[in-house]
Amino acid sequence: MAATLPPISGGSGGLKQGQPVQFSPSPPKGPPSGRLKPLKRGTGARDGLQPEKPRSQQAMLTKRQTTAYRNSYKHNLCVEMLTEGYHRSFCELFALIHRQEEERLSAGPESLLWNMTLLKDQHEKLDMLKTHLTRIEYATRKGDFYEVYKSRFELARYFQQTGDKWLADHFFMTCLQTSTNISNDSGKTQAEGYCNVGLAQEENGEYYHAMENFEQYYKLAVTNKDWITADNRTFHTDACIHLSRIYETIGTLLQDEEDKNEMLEYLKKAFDMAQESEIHMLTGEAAYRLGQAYEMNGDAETALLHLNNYLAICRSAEDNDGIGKACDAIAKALERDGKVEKSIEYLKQFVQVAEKSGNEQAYSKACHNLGIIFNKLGNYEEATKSFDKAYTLARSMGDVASININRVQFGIAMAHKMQTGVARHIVMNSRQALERIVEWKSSRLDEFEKPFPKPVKLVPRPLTPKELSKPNIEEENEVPEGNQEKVEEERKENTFTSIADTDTHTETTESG
Amino acid sequence: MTLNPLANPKGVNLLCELCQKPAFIQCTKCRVTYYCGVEHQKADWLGIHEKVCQNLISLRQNEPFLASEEERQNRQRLLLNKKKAMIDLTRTTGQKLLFEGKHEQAVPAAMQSLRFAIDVHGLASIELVPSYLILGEASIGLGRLSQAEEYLAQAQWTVLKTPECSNSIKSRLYRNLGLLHAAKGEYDESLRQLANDIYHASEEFGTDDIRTSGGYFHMGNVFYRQGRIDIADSLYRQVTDIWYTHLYKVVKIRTRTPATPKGIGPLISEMSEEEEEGLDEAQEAEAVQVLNSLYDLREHQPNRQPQDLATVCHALAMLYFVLMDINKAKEFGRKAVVASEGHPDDNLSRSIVEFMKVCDRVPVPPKKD
Repeated sequence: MAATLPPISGGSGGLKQGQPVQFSPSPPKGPPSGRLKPLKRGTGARDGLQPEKPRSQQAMLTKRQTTAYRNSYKHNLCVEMLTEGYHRSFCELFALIHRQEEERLSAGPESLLWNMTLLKDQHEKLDMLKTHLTRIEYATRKGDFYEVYKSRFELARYFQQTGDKWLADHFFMTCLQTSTNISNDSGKTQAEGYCNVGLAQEENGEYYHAMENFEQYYKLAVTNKDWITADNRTFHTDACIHLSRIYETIGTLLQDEEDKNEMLEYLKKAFDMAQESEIHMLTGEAAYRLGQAYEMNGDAETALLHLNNYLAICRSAEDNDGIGKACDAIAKALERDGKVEKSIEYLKQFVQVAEKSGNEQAYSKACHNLGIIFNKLGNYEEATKSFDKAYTLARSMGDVASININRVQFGIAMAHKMQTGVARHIVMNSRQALERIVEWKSSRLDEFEKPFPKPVKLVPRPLTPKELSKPNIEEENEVPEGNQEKVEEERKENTFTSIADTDTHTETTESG
Repeated sequence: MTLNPLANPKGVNLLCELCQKPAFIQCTKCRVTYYCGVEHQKADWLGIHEKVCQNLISLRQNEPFLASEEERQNRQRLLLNKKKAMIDLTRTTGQKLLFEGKHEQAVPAAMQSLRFAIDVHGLASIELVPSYLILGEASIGLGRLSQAEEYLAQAQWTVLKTPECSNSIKSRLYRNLGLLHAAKGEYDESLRQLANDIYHASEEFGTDDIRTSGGYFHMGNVFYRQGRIDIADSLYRQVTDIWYTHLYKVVKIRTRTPATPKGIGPLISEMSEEEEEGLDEAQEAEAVQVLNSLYDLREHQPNRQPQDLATVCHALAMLYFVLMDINKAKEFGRKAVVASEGHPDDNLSRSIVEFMKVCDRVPVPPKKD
């Protein structure tokens, strides 16, 4: 109880509180000498009072300057905002900073967020936030919500540019909230707000929320067709475009679901919206996608309807790529429907268009598809031709995946083509045929189609060492008819491998 | 209470509890507290002594003879715990008295807490700061500005020397400094201090906590005095909203429990009262002070926004409900209904009506108490 405390009713201000030194005796210095030292109270204090020259020459810092030095940038910014009376701006800014810190913490030190520069250390952005937020608060106090909306929108755009998606999202969201307060433009800003929020959500992958917002946007836009966006479209068209896109996205998302009806539903909605927007290309694309979905679902007729629609649109727009795509899809649908002839017709068209437009990729694909269909039909002649074309195109493009696929297909088609010849020769069971097979084995030249030369006297020639080393083939060739199928199978295998061999061979030679 | 003039034994200097001058009378209840006169004893009794009288006995007794070291340490530990508890008790009391506007009475409590704090933590500890702050605030309230400045300067110095000092202490320090400057009429400086207060409080509790709201309220007062009414208005609105949401939450928790057993509603709610986090004494006092002054302000404001008054009334009604003063709660509830009538904010009026129903369900309890 040693502390002296001021009297409660003493008017003179009481004793000083600020001298705790008085009560704590300093530890004794040195060994006790037995004699009391002379008291030197106050001298130390006087030494301290001696003004240091350099400091005295400096101007005294104001309190503001010292705090600016002592506290963080965020601290000073907040205090400044508060002293000016912008407490709501402070709350918002503070909440944003806090939110980021929290997200970072919950993401943990392993995440990408951990090493990002926090908002509170980005002074430029903080300044930007401050100026706009204070302006917003001022406008709110005056009740000028349009100004609020504009400022918030500006902030959102700014953060979109700097890549701070979450901040941009926040301000778009608040834009929408603000826009509900603006009553004198029959909801134009609100529509804009819905649109922006929808776009932001779409980017975040929240497609269903985005869809809801776009639907709101559409609702507002459809009643006011005279509103026009910055790039000279009506709000209505804009809404249709966005809605069509989001429906389509959702539709494709649902592709893997068990129930295909929902997907079709969304794609149909997308198509309707595209039609409403009256933009032909968009309608075409939507029709194409819808057609493909129907095709996938096994409903070839409806698919054809939509695909033909797309083809017509592409024709009128003279979009060669589009025509190609349409032809391709139609051909596929037809094929599934069993109308192969027609399918080939369309594919040929595709090839033509692709050739004309000079789009090598499409050309290659067209040839490939055509080849496949021919291959299936057993028209190996045509198939090899098509695949040959596709293969060369792919090689000239240098597209590895396409090269590989076409190479294999080319090989298969060739093999199929050769197969009949080989089989025939085996069945023939004559010496000439046998020789030719052996010939083929060593040189891999397809000469099975050639007519046999007139039976000249065959001079038996000595066997080459290579032939000697494979006597078993000759033996096998002479198996009786009953085993023929087995042999053929083996042959097939051989042809496959051999053709692959030739292929690599040709490639190396050509590349060399 | 009888007062005994004291005959001092030789070598013992008995000093007055409050002013440290030679003492002449002794408290007859605890017999360990001395005063220089009746005036100081009375002040101390009203301020804090009534609450701590019995506790002081064990703390101020001479150390009994204890044989073993262990026992001595045990006693030391017990004493320390007791003292810490006393610090808390005295501080809360002081704070509460301050919010009730009894600055004179708050001083003894603050002194007592300071004394215990020095005893426990030493002279230069950060733990002393809250006591200094209460003293400072009391001095501001009493108009002794230079004295207040001394206390606060001491507190500020301690805070500055302790970099790891918690934000809540900083916030209270700056709040008091802000009040001091406001009392001196230095409004700009006051605003800066209060801004610092809000910043630190927000760091600690969040921007929308009732412990932050005090800063907004004082800031609003300063702006009001500066004549910047629109800013003050906006600040007051935020304060009201903060209290409103907090009280709404508390009321919701309380009314949920007695929903099933209707007949014995108040009894149940009394029982559950201890468990839930509500308001401590100081906070209750603060709520009463802040909300009442806001209510006065809104009532006399000529061009107020319609829902402002309704919100304040509703908040007050809920506050009195929480304080178990049902009559007053009903009164303010009715005022809130009147104020919210004819205004479009449906949510507010609906919650008011709901609240009134709850009030009616609770039979008036004060007669029982």
